[in-house]
Amino acid sequence: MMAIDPSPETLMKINTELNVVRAQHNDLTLKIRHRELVEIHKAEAVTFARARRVRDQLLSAPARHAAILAAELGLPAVTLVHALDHVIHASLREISRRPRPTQESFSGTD
Amino acid sequence: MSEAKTASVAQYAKMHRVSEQTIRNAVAQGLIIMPTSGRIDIDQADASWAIQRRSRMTTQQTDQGRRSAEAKIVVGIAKLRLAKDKLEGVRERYINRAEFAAQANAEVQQFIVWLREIPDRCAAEFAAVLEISPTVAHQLLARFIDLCIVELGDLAEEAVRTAETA
Repeated sequence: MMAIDPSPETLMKINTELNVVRAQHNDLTLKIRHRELVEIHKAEAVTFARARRVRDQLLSAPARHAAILAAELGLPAVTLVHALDHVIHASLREISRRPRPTQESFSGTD
Repeated sequence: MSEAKTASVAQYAKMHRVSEQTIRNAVAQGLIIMPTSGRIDIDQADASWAIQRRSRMTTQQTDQGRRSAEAKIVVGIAKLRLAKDKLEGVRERYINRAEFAAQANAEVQQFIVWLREIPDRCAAEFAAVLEISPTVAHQLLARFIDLCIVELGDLAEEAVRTAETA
């Protein structure tokens, strides 16, 4: 157990620090009430939902656009769908491996 | 059997140079037990109340006072730890909304840049698969990506909006 100096200054220091921590907590509570902060799980949920929507839209894009593009260039539609599918899958795989762009600190509650 | 030393509230208050009300408050708090006789058991009152009185206000010289002051400091440290833990809990659960919006915007912008790079990266392989010239393959892919981006809509604006409303 750590040694305690039972002087009035020690207790005063502890009480001061306690007040500082409580003030910081109150500040955060106020920011939450003013909607300056957002819960991480909510932020992740909306980000993942958007990412999934984008991914699904891109994966289904070849089927929607290949026919028109194939007709314009006189190419077999089925081959073009497969080729575009391959391009989209490979590109999404590669993008998923890349590091996320940095908006440096993602935790701005300080 | 020796008889317990007793004192009236007024006497006990005088002994410790405090007001009678202070003693009555200690009785009300249950620190000093007042028997039906109305007289305070001095040993009990000293052990329960007197040793810790004002211990946080003065440097303690006696062993009992020192222990009492230490106990108060330990309680203070425990409260501080609890408060810090609570604060950390909130900090871990929340992020700044404006920074989240900026981050979401940056990610979307970067994603669009990556999408626009697809024709440059994939044109050669695409041309070989379809047996067409690389230039035509590049144009075809660029057109396809343009169509995809138009379909996706204004992702950056959507990202900022969802960040603001989450």
